[in-house]
Amino acid sequence: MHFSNHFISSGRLIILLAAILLPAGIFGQNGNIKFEHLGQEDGLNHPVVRKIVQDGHGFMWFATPDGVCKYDGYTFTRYRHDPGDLNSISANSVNDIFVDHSGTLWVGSFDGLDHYDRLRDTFVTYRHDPADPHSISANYVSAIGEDRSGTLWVGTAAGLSALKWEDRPLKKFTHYYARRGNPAGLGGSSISAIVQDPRPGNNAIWIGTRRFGVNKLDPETGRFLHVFHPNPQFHWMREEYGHRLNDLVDQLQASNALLGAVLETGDSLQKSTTFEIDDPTDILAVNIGEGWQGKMYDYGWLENAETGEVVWTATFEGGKFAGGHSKNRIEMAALSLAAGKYHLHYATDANHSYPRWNAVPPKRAAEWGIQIFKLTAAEAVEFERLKEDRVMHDFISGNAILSLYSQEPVGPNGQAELWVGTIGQGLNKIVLPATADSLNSRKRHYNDVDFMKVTTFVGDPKNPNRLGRYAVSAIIKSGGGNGDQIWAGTTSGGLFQIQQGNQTNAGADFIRYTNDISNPNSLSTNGIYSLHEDPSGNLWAGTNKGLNKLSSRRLQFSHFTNSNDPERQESSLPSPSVTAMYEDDDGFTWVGTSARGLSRFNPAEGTFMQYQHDRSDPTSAPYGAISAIVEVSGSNEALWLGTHGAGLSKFDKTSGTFTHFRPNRQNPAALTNNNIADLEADEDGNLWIGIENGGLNKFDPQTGEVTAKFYRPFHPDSAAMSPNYLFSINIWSLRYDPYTEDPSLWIGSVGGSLCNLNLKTEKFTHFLRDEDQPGTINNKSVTTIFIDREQTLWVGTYSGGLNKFDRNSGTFRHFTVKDGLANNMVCGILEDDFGNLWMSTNSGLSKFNIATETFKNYDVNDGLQSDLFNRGVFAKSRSGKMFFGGVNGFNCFHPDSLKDNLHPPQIVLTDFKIFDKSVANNEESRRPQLEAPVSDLEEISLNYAENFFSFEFVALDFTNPPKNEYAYRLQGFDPDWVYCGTRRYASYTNLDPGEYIFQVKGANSDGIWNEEGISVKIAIMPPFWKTWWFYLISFATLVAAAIGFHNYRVRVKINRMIEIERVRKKAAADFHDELGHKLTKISLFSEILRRKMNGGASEDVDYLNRINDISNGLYHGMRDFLWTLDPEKDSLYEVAVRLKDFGDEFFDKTGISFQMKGISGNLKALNLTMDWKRHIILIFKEAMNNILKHADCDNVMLEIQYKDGKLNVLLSDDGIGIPKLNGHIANGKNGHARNGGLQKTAAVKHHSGNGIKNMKTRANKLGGELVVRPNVDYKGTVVEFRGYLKSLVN
Amino acid sequence: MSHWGKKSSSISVAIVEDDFEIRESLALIISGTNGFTCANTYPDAESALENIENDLPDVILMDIELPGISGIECVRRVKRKIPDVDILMLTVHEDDAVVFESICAGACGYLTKNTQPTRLLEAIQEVHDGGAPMSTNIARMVISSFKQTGNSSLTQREMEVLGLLCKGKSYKMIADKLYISADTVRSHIKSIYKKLEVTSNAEAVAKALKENLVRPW
Repeated sequence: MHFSNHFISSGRLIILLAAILLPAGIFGQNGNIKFEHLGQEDGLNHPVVRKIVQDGHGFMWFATPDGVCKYDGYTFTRYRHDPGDLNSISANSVNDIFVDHSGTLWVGSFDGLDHYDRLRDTFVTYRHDPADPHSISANYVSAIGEDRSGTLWVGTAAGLSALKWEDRPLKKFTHYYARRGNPAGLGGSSISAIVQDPRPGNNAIWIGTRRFGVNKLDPETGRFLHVFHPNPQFHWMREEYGHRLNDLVDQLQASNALLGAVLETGDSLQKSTTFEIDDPTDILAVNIGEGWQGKMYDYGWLENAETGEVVWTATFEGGKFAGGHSKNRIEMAALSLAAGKYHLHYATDANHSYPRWNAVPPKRAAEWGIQIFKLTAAEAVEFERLKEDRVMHDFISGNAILSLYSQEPVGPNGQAELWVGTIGQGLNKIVLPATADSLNSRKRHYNDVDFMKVTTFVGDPKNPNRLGRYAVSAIIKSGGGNGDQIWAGTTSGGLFQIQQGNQTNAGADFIRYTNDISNPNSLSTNGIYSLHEDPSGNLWAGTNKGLNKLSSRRLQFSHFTNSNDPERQESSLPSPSVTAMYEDDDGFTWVGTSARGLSRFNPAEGTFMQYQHDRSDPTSAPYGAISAIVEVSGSNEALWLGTHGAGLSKFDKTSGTFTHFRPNRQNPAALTNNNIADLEADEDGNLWIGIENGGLNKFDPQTGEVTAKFYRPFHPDSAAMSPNYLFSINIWSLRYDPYTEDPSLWIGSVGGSLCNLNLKTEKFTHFLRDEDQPGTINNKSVTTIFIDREQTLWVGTYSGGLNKFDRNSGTFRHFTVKDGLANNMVCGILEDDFGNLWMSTNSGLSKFNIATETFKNYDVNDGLQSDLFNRGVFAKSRSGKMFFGGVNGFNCFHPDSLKDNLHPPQIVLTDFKIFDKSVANNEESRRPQLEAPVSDLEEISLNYAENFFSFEFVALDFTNPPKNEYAYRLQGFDPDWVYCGTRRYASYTNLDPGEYIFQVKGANSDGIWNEEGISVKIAIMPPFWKTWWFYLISFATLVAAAIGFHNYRVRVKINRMIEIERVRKKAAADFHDELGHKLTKISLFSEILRRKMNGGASEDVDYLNRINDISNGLYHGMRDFLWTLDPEKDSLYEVAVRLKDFGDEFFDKTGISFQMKGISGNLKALNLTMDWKRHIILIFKEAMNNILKHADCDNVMLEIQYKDGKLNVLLSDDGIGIPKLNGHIANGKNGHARNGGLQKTAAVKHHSGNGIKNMKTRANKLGGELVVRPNVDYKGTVVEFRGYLKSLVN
Repeated sequence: MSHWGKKSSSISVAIVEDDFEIRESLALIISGTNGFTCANTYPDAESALENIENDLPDVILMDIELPGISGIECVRRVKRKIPDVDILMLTVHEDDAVVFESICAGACGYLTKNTQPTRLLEAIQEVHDGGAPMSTNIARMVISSFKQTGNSSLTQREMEVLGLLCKGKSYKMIADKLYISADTVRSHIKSIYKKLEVTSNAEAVAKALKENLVRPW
């Protein structure tokens, strides 16, 4: 402690002693913790937040005196009572909100209970109806809870109402009313809180009442159990709790363990009896009598008959209430007696109710007096245990209960805890026995009480700000930060945090957080009503002045700044703007501020010692901002301080005095000027001084003299890049570099970028910015220089971000905002043990992974002192802690302790707009798919004109919503995900009709993505001119013409159809199906008709056959026609295959063998127009028809020959041939085709004749010819088509 | 071969067709023809699947385009219940892809709806007697499908039949060329169908379709 001695002896320092050990319970508010505030200015509807819950989607809900409010991290949506709207909430003043296991939100207000109908975005109200015994018991709802079976429990002005899960549709409540004097009933009707029993599998609920303590209700038995503070109004309840001890007495009596007793009592009696024991014995003395106000009036004692020693006396304090009238007392005491004879004495007073019982008799009225029982060893142990339970653990500290918190056991050794907040009596922790224990024990409903352990937290009684003074309105156990912490919010005393590990004793340490007017990051008020922890670990406090949020990262960046609060001076900087930091070998961090000198920071205690300027004392700290602090190697007794405005100072740590070195024009060995920007020590013991607009000074700490000055001559045009001069004398930063060939000094300046001074040769090498040279440094001004453990030189610039210097090539690589850096002004660079650089910038802190070259940024919302850091203000401790200083103090953190928020956020759609108009949240424009809330939207169809639409979405992570990020994709349109940063909407215009899937995913502020995200199917309907019915109508029109077949217009229309390929395909298919079905029916009906006629008039049958033929012909014609239209079937190959399939089918079962020659894959390359397809098919179908009808052949062969554009299709048969006139026909001049079968009927003849004519006409239309000639090889006929395909080949 | 052991001389036919008039007309015609009985008619695949095991027809006429479960899926499920039943697909337009899919699912042929009632009855008879028609395009897809699956379980003879079919030979020609009867050709083809049903996996079918198939609409 030599240290403080010196201070005291020097007497010149303002000493703010840091190491005061704070007594338990009065830890002050820690300056590290920052509360973020959300209030009416942010959109909250009312400053008072009575309750906070989060629904199944992740939205936050707030109960206020002016309705409820929903929050998505960006916007608040309010729900108020509207007297004209039955679907609004029951009243604006809302006491409680609750989310049940099914995710339904319940609202308890001054005038009813509501549940929120999410699908309709409305509220359904439950009100008391005097005519309906099953309606809720009263309209004033104070608390809502739910048991594990799903029954909803509602505290109303009249008591407790339960709504069973299965009774919900009927709105059928069951009621429990308070009945005074009923030990198994509800204790009081003013209910402040309802929670589930913390033990899994236990269906009970715990009810906090305003006047009657905590009640436990077991819904199966309907019995209440009372946990209370024993003030007189609880006599009737306390009676219940003697049972187990009574049982023990019963047991002893039954086992004849009585050694002696005096039970005959009356007024002013004094009686005695004597008993003897042979061995040392454990005994139980049971004394029942009257006692009042600390004194026993009927009492006894036990005297050793040999020695006269009184071994036991009944006292009021040792006893307890015995049932009946409040003055009835019972004392039970166990003790060990030595062998021997004992006198038992008993005395009563003169004014006595016994035996007339003018008041209520005690429980064991017949045992009024004293009894001594012999105890077995086991009974002795059992007694002690029961007694301890009774005395130590029965009671809570108050009966005015304001809050409850139910904590399920965590982990294998976790215990089930119920936390009880009282008004003015502190906080109680009740540890409940495991359910199995209480089931095994023999007693009934009060076993929990027999075994539970209560710990009360009130705080140090000497502390005026102890927890016990306030009303505990909210309790929560938070897993955020450093493990489990219990937080208690009070209605006027701020927020208390029970220190971890100190939850066992009543005087536990608390950290108390209150409003501090001078600290904008403190609580907004001391009036706290509700607490909530979100899934990301953020702690929310609802207060009478808005919401306070404690970020889950609250403990990661410690923050120290100055405070105006005199009580907090020891943990406060003298001035907020930190201008220099340095860690010395003793483990202290030295902090220079812009005013009021130097501070020594003790990181272990978070406290400061200040050294301030004193005008009257030349050895006091320098005036002005301290801009640099270093030690010179070989001397750790002194710190060297560079100042802005006051030159150089040496601080002697041992003496605590300062020596100052100032410029002096007369003395060339003095500083150039007063404005020091940076100091750096080399390994030879020199101090290098970088001076703003003063060049570089080399200083010898031993002599206190400047030994060399480096500058730039006044008009040194020729010396601009001289190795002898600096390029710019406005120096900002220095860095000693032992890794260059000779040790050197890097100098960063304003306007001169970077230069290197060889300390041996004292020559400069300049690295200037040259825009035309890509590998040069990218900024003229260098703010800070850093050399990492890999010896890589990193250069922070004023507006060019980070530059990485390659020592081999002498070139620079640049990392800027574009690459992810927080800001292009880099103020300081440090390195951690994991290959990351940490940089303070003008816009927060950047972590840069050197290997992956990626950045992660932190801003003020993460706990930084501000987004603005000061240039050159950083330090790293040997333990790896980093310090960065800025305009509002400094941050201190260990890179290891920065934990990311790994909770992927839930993604929710918040709006869907068409033409920038909401269709989701707008009653008028809402459409069928959007009857449900937009967050449930799964698919939607839009008409063609509506294809200008947008989605809005949120990621429900409340840690730092402005930094949540999003990506979206419209499948079917976007080839890839669109990473849109923090933008929360996506717009699409002019999409083609079709089906799409819109997907969104989001990340929390730590970049943890919810990759699954959500998706919506979107169907954009085609306009009417692209719809099926339009296709059908168009097509029907075409078919009307097409049926005629001969019309040229067919071709025109077909050509048009080709242009709209899809149209024709779709429409044709539809039409074809339709026509096919109808024709099928005609065919079937005529068949049926034929059968019904049963071979009737042949003429009728003939007509039927003709109907059938025609419909059949129409069908086939239709098929051919549609086949012709099919663009997929445009090749000659397809034509050949079709002819082949037709032939197969046609000649099947006729006895004629049909075969095909010349089908090969080559034909696939030959595309035919529809005309060609149609005509060729029709020609040869006709020809096959003729063969079947007339040729009388055995074999038919179809052959396709194609060569160089010339197409020949030959159909030959070995039939009877063409008898006569074939020449005529072959030449195609005139006449009718005549062959064997032609004469069969006139009809056929005519048909056939036309057939050949048609075939020829068709061939002509294709510019080809059709020849019918005798078969050379066989006796039959050949029909040959010849044409030129050349022009048609694609 | 289905129901050889069955003594019943008439072929029991079930019809799955959503169009009431067509369905009932077909039923009337079938049940009014000697040698045929109509086992039952179903308006959709669902009711067919529910009852088909009770009705146990020899041949099912199956519309491809059904409401709800498609005809093809229905074939697949029916074949699981009654592996021996013969199924003929009824289709309005000849879509090779759909027909091929049906065959892979277990159908053994198809008929256009407009097929003359007498021809339809013949086809039923034929299929019942072990025949099955196959067009050139289908034959090509079958070959490709077997190539895809890699392990051709086809016999030499079956490969020959398929190859000739692909080259455009008629049943008769094939029969002549291989010195077998046309009926034997038909039964070979039916056997090929069966193997196709067994060996085709979804992927192979998809690939076969993609490479060879020409969708008409």
